[in-house]
Amino acid sequence: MKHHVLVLDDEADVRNAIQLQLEGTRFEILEAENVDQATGLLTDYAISIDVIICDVRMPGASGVEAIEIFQREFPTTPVIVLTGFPDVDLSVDFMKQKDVVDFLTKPVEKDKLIAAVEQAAQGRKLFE
Amino acid sequence: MTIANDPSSEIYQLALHSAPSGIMVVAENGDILYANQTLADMFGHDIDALVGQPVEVLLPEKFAAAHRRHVENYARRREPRPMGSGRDLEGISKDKRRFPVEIGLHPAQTDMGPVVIATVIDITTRKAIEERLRRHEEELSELVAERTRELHTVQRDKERMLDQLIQAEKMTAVGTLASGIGHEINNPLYVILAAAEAISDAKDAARCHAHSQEILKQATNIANIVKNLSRYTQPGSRHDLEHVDLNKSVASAVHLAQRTFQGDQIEFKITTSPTPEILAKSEEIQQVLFNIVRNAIQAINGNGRIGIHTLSLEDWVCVRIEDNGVGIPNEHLKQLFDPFFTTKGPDEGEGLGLYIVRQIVTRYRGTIDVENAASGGSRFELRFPVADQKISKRSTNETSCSGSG
Repeated sequence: MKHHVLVLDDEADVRNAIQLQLEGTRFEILEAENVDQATGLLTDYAISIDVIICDVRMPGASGVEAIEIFQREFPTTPVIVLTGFPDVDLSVDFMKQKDVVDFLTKPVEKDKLIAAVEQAAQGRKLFE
Repeated sequence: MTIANDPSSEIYQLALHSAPSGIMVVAENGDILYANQTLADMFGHDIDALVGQPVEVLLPEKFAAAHRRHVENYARRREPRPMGSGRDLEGISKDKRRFPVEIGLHPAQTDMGPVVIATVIDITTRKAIEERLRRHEEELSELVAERTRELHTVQRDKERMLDQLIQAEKMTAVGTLASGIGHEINNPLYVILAAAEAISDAKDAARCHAHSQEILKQATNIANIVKNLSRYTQPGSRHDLEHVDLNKSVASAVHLAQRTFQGDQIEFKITTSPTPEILAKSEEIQQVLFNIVRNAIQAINGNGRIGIHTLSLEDWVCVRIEDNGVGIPNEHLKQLFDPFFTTKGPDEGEGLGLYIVRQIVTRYRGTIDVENAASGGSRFELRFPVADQKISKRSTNETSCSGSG
């Protein structure tokens, strides 16, 4: 069975970088540049999404709003926050939400990202 | 019998002796023929002792010889010389006290031959008052000079404080900017990191080439971000004025605002006309425009339209910045540029932004006006004097950019 990671970031370059880092792992990347695309993929029953990687600062609905939607509508899918701006207050807020399993800042090393995704995916398995 | 006709009359004598001026009659040879009581008192002599004496007894020795010559000269011309028309003279009393006098001379022809009637006033008091006045005047002008020096110092301090304020306000804006910049730099940095990791893992030269191209692109991105930022934050020398193209300043201020407020839904509509350059410091002009744009973004609450229009009006270059926000209450329009005037909460700034805007604009002999536009939002109009009359040849163009930037 294929494992899927949903990447929500408005910048194609960043999505490509995540794709590059997860290349060769057991995860396949699904890209979304806005919340609508992300929820569209999440509601597609043909694909099972194991982990969501989500940016914080985006035009339109922000990452914060996106995570609220994920938490409400897809409560079993773990979320990793990947932000360009390390904000301590924000990270504390996120970590209080049960479905945010990790808080990473750009630039993140490949090993660290893979480890975070692996851990999140296993956590989900346990949760189910 | 009338008094005037009888010199021996007691009243006649009394009138002469009680005159406020000393009066004496001097013969052609310089001998005193008559002296009134006032004159005798002034010099401390008895009238009898004076009569028959040469007039030089009333003068300090150093004037006596010169006076003798004056008398001879005067005898040749014999014109009346009113009080105060001559030089300052000195008299000497019997007890050798010297005092300033003023003398009027009136020649007359009598039975005893030609005489001169001299009127003498002791001007010690007047001289003292004059001296006091002079000293007072000196003190006053010294005081004025001192106050002027103080004012210069105050002015210099004010200028320096303004510079510091401008710089501090810039830094506040940079603080807001930092989060936006952090985002903008960390994104390309992340792409670079991922590409470098891919290169170190890859065995395929073609893929390595593609990754390194990506790295080059992203590194250039970062360099440009830093360059723009440092141009904005550097204090700049006070005297380094340059020719500034307002259209370029508008573009970079909008770019900066888009970075700072990315995530907001702002549609910028920028209409530029070919405008002559102005003489200023470009980073200060950018600061002015950024502050007004930031204000507009706050007025539309991060969601709306901001129109910026540049045009040339005779010897002025003009920028109009209009938003479709809530506008400014009429009672606030007058206070808008006052220091510490703010309608925002304590965490949203000290209310110095527009004050500094006006200070900078005034520094370059420009003007700033604000009004509520027909659309309901506010409209700022800036005018700067043209640096020289050469108009750039660029054609009018219109750009529109929307979204987050």
